[in-house]
Amino acid sequence: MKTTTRTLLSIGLVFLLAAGPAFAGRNVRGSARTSVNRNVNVNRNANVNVNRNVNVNRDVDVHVHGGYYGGGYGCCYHPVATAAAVTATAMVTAAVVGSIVHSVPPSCTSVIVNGFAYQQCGSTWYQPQFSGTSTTYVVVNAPR
Amino acid sequence: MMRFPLCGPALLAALAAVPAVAHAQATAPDVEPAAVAALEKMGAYLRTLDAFQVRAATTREDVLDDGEKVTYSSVTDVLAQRPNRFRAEVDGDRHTRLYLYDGKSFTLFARRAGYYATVPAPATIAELEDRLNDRYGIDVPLSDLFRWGGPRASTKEITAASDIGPSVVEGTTCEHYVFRQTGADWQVWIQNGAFPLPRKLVITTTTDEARPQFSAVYTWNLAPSFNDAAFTFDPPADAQRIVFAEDAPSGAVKK
Repeated sequence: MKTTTRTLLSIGLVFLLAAGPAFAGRNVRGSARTSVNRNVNVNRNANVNVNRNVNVNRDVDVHVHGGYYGGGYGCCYHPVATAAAVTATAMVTAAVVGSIVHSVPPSCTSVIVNGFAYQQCGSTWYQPQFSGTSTTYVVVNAPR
Repeated sequence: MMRFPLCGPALLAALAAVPAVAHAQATAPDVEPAAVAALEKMGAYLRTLDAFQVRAATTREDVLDDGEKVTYSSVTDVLAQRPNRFRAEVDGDRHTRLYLYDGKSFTLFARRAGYYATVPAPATIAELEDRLNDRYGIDVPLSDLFRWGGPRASTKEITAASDIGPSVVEGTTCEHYVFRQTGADWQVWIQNGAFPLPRKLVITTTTDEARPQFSAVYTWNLAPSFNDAAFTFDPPADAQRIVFAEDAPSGAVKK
């Protein structure tokens, strides 16, 4: 991934957006690897996936048009290493372009621009993307 | 290092029968040549399969920061035709994912979220695996089945190997082997007879003191019926196209 800064920003955002029950969850520090014949670069996206909270199925991904918004987690066939620790300094103001979150607020609207999906949340635009096999949302400049 | 009961006798047999092999084993006394040979035979057999379908019931453990483990389950269906057709459907506790490769493009579809991404793909399954790994950090589901017997196999990294004995998996008699390599202790159950298929795999990650496990029980179909449509993505009406993070932060991705 681009930089540590982005990771910290994204984690801060996750905390902001997931405020409430998610804070009560315990974090995931690692997962069992799923293959013995490994590829050298298999952990490259691990920093997006760290510190998921585990409680009441908050990490289960669901359709974004439903009433419940959950971020997907790139799990089952992408061995994920434990990565960066989160510190209190990770808290930042939301909606910094380039930051990544696992879910978007419920007030967002799904918009298609040039054939690709976006989530518009007031003046903030998120672009859904696959990070590994998990779905995340990156804050982008308004695409139109 | 842990030693297995069969290790000593097997090594004695190897010493008596094949002096050259015994000499090689002097520096790696925990590796039973017969166990490694069985693994290589299984890998070589997998490489002979032109088309196959396999369903894997898998479990995978996450480790929480206090050391407690959480087990998640999923079922993965893979259909592959060498050299350039691949389909995998993962239906799990947390995810549903469809992987499609038709020799020209690759699509990842998150069914519950309704998102998919499609990118141009290289000419073979092996090259696709490289591309997905190197560019997108994606490991193909059940990737070991495509790596055993090939240049990606970890056989040379094995530091301990033993034949544990017969074991029945889903009604089929198998031989049960254990292996150790850096970062993982693992076990494979290989079907007896003319079709030495892996029928079960258990991997214990040893880099975390909680030692989380992954397990897979495989059900094979070596004569699958299918057509090309099985490998081509036909997006549902409400599916929305997205990007891979590596391709474009701004959505300016080109097909």
